[in-house]
Amino acid sequence: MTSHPRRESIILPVLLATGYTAMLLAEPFWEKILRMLFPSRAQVVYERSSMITLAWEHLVLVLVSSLLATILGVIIGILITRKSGRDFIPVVDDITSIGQTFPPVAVLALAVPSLGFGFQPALFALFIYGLMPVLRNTVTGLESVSPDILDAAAGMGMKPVQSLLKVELPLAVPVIMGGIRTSAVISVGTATIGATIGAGGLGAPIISGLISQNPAIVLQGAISAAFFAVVLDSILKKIESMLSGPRDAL
Amino acid sequence: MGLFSRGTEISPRGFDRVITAGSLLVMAPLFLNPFVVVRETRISPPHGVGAVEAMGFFPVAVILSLAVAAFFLAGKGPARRRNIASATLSRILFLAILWQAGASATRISVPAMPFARVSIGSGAWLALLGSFMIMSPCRRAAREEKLFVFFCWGFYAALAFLFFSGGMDNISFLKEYHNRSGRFIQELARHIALSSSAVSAGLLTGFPLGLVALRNKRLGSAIISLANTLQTIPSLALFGLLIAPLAWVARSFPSLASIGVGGIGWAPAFLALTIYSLLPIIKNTVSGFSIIDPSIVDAGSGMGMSKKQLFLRVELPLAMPVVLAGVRISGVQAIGNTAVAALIGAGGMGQFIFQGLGEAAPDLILLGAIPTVMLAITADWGFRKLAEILGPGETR
Repeated sequence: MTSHPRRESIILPVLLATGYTAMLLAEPFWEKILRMLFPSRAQVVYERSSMITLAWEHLVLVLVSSLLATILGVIIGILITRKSGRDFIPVVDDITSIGQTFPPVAVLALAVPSLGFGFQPALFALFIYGLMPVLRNTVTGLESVSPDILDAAAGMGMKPVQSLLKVELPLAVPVIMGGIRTSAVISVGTATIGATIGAGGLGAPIISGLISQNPAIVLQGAISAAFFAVVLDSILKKIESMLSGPRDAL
Repeated sequence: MGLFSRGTEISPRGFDRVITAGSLLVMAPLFLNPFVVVRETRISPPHGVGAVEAMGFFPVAVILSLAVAAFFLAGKGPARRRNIASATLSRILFLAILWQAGASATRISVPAMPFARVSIGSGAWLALLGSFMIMSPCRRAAREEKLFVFFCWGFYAALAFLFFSGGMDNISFLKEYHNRSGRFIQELARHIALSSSAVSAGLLTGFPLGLVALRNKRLGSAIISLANTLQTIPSLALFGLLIAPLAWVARSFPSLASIGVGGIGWAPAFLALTIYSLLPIIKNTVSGFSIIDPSIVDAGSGMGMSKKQLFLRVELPLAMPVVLAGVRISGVQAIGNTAVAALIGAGGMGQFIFQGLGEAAPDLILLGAIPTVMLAITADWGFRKLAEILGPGETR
């Protein structure tokens, strides 16, 4: 990474987020456009819930699951890269690499027989699935810190905890953040399908439109969900580049 | 696999820690969690049955002693013995647990309750995970033993036998399968056809786009950032976005509508799945060709090779493993997204998943979800092997 992202402005993501919120709030505008596109339909917008509520549900689903996945993933990642936990690295490697192969929709579907329908099972499925990239990247990031740097830290009289907090973690942050972003982007997509297990969110109008064969409502949901993903991704990218900062990421 | 740079070697002292955890994970759930779950009918509420009640005393004792044996044999002694012991015992354990789950299902459902559904409970799942944990640390080392390779094939053969001999037939989701095996095969074929054709189309467009991106840096970064943005869009949203335009296309061109192009069905699914496969393929084509050492290409042209020969005989083979890794990522992703495409009427395994969700029938959900997972894992494994065979280069 040769760019110095701290100098870039944070205006663009903020602008995107504001614009997106405004777009969701502009209900008469949606109605007008969709009525123009689908003149034969009696109902052209989703009426059971406002788009802003659905986007909020979606955001909570994604943020809470990603936050839990980040906390647990980083903790496990730290534990298994310590001297006493190293033996578990191959097992975790195997489990996470198989786990990442699991299709997200299958994870969501598998949550239902064991946990039932609704918001919480969806949250749990997103959390478990989101754990994989965070854990994997935490281990990769911590493992890629050169042994020379660790020796230098120890030579300066740092205790293992200090070395972890002041040297290893800061150096691993860009890689860990990459994992968090991957996990959040997958969560946004999976949360959309969460509507099929009754989790609400921006998938709800799409599913409802598909069931009632109303392409206008499908389009309204699809546009909102697509922009949601793009805006959130750009915000996360910004956070990622701010955290990796002007220092050399490797 | 083995993505992590350091730490795959096991310290002799710590070896038994993974094995300890694994064997505890086999033993404890046998007593703490339900081994199988019984429902009186397909959709009635479940109740758990413990291991001793489900299998009887003797099988539980055998499984426990196998786990104890793994603990003692694999934890101590010379490395070779440990590897062979944990590799062998873990697989026997895995088979024994699965076999007993099938057998308990038969025992419980056949005489008393003909409509009962028995599924694998959390106790059995955790015990299977435990035996996988015992297996995991020795996998790489044990592969070097000649005899062990035969044993591995034996393991897969036994696994296949367990399923095809009918030993697992009373496990609920296999019952669901037997009730609709004809349609299952049809949807499976549809699933494979849709995802593989989309990835092929992705390769046919993504590979040339990757080559273009290599020649022209500015155009290249534009292509990649566009593909990146498209990749971010949730699959269900992209399917939804394509419905209206494709419905319009079908209305305007009846000839296209007659071959099945329409707002719902295979057309939007195929298009969206192709779009999703682009990014990994383009990215990996670019990195595959850019990691080639320029001196090799120079040597080739020094030998009098033409541009075309250089490309086909030098660059392409060298870049192939990385490009294939891109195809692998696209393939795994497409298999998952094809399941979602059932929502827009494209068929496939998602058909069972969403029908099962609609009817609140867990077995039907599993009938769709488990094969989807197996397909994804098989595709992942297959492309890794293919990359291994085709080139000695980095597969990542």
